[in-house]
Amino acid sequence: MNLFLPVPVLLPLVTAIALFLVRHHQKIQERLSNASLAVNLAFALSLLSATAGGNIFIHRMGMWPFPFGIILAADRLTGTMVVLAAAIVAACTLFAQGYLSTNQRREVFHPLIHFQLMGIQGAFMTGDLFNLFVFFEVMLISTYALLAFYYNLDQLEVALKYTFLNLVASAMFLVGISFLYAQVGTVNMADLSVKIRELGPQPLMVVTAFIFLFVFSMKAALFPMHLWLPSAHSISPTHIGAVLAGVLVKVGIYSIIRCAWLIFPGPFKVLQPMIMTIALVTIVWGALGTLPQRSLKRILAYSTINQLGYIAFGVALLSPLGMTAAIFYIVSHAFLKSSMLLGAGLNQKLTGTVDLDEMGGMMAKAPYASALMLVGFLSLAGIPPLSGFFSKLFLLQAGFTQGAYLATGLALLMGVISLYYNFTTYQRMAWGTGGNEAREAPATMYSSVSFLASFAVIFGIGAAWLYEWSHLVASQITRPELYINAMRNAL
Amino acid sequence: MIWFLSITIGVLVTAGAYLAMQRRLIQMVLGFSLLSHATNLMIVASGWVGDGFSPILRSYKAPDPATYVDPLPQAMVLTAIVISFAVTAFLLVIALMAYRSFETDDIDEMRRLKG
Repeated sequence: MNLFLPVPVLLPLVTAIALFLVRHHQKIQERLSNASLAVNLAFALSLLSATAGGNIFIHRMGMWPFPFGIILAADRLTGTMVVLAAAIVAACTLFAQGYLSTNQRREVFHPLIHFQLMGIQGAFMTGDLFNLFVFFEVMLISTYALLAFYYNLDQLEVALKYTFLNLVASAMFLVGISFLYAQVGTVNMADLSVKIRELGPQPLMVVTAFIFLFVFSMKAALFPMHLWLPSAHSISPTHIGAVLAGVLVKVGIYSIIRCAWLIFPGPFKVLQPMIMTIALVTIVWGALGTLPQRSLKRILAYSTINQLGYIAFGVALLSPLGMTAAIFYIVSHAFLKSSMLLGAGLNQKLTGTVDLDEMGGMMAKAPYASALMLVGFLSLAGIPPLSGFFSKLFLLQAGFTQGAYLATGLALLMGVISLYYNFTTYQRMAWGTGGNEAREAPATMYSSVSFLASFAVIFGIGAAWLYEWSHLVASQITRPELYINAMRNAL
Repeated sequence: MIWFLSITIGVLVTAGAYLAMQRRLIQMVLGFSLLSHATNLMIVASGWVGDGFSPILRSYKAPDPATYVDPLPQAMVLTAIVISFAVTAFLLVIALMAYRSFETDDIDEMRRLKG
């Protein structure tokens, strides 16, 4: 497996270039894209099963010795995240093939989404902080272009907002790296971990950790940096919004997890009250933000902010139990939210609108599409036996076990609001009367939404299995010495 | 010399932040470009050794690292420069597209025209 670690980076890269070359042949382009995504998903699954035993795979690019050179590494967390990315991007691309009509710039969509996939999977695989920056930029540049997809005025505004905010974050990322390099003289994650621990607690290191927290919170849309998310989700084309909600924000959370357990365990202990506060404010802000909205996609966007707050809450507990709950939440939310955004896009295709009141009466007009949304809303609201119930349950359990009563109580209270907004949203969408006539939608759109929505049921009924896996992941990442030793002893 | 580098970084950040907060797109793009130059200089500064030699070995003997400037940040900064170049080019294209559709590059004016 060590030898094959560059595949999740190289395969999308080669495919993207090939797709650009065949951009004038739509059929060939689609088939090539689908084939590459299938191979990528198959590889991701085999990576997941290879990491299940607890091995950490290391690939040293260019065979440089340990602390130098770029290292790709795969532990259980990486395996899980790569599978998430591969599955969701594949479903969204399949959806896009039905969603975009022939003259809608589909020739640039396929190369861009593969570049984005390369950045995402690279960010999950890399064991080098500067390389993480490079993969972030690969991911972001393709996202900027995808957000401005049709170059219409609303999308230009969203793309500008997202680009400028992320440029500030990227600049701060580099500032953070230069702070780190000036202090410890390395950018390899394992080496950083060892050297930062040797250096002991230092105010400047806490500042550096804070810079990284800021940068990754921007990607993860945590409270003060969440402003780009609602418009990016609702105005960009649906399949791009779904990749954003399902995978891109998780890259930010993933990086925070790596910082909290591998790179800066000490400084993050100092920052813990702050991260907890950010998480709680994000939960409250996201939950309340849904209430005045009329657009289905904007409600889902604010609900994403709400859910990211819950995930950050699990991370902020800084314990193996909280980590287990956070991993469970990440996996279930990634599938759930991307299925719901695609579902919203499906309803948009059927009725030509995302406005809830204009949509009205979807249950009668399009029973199957409406049922798919119902599964999503019930799961988001936290109704057993769907995945959303168990993700909240484990999180609150972890919070109460650690004695964070006030914070967990607040998170529980906001669960009630999420119950309220999910029910009223579905009610307005499905039960009303009037609204636009329903049109036809291609079968590929239905199948990709159904594929993603089925995980809400699978992870609900199979919650014990997913919890067991999340526990395995958490037990590996909360012992950073495993990762460090694997990198040191790599051949 | 490190004081000179620090002052340059400070001036670039100030000018960049000021420009980035203007209303015209082209000024914003230039501002972000200055900001990224400032961060690039910071990376170079992180490998700074006062009175160090440039990192070119003149013999096969193992060098004393304390007398050489660290070459790794300079390699990293090249990557960062290329990335900021690509992003700036993309932003200029977006600004141009916006200018063509609105006949202005003032953000407030655009919002007013869009209604």
